[in-house]
Amino acid sequence: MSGWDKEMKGIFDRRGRLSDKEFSRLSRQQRWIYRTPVLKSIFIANAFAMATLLLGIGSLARAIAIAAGNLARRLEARAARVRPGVPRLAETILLLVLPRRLRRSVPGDLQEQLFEDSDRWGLGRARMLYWQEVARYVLKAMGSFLRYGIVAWLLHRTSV
Amino acid sequence: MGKRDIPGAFEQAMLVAIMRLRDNAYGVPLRRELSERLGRDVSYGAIYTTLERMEQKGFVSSREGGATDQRGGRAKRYYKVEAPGRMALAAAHEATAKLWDGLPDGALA
Repeated sequence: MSGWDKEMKGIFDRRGRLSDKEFSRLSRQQRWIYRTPVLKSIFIANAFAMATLLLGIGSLARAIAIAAGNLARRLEARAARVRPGVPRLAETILLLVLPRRLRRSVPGDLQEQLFEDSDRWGLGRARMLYWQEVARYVLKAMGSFLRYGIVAWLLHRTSV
Repeated sequence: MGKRDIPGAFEQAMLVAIMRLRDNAYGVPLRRELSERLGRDVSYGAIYTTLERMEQKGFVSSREGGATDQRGGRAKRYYKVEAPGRMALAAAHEATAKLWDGLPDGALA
């Protein structure tokens, strides 16, 4: 950018508002541009374009940072949800014998218990206790199956 | 109140535990409370079988509540003692009191 351009940019960055004293210091060419609305607009528009571009880059960078933060939080939440340790086979067996209305609360309770137990006694023992709870549940389900028959048991299993 | 409506010992313990836990009466704290009070390990199978039976009798009601990441995003089921449950518990307490009433001091020694 030449010295003249810089000077004009300085003038029009102030959106063309010049005092009489400032105007008197302008050269003939500068006065001509200042008085021609189209040319004045171009200079002002350029200044705006530059500012908009800078703001745009800033906003884009901010949006990328927010999106990255959200993605990191989502991945962290997913990792917490599928923490290693829950014996998947035991959980599947449990879901097979549970009535529908308890299919969220009981596995949730057992998972919460597993994490408590693993903090207290270690993951191996906690998993063993998880299996033990599932086995007890299956035995109870088998008991009701033997006592009331398959139809009653299936009705109970699918009850809401 | 019929004989079948008087809660058994485990049902009574469960009703008391739910009343003690108030707004936090779901599986995990219930198990902890029962194990501590009864002095023995209580399984989730026993807890939920009893809760279901008592819900059918109208002693307790349940609602699904919040989930946490620690539970794999699964909802908790909160239990609350209803009026028939409180009446049954009072009847059981009265029956036990009658049973012990008049026993001479030192009879168990």
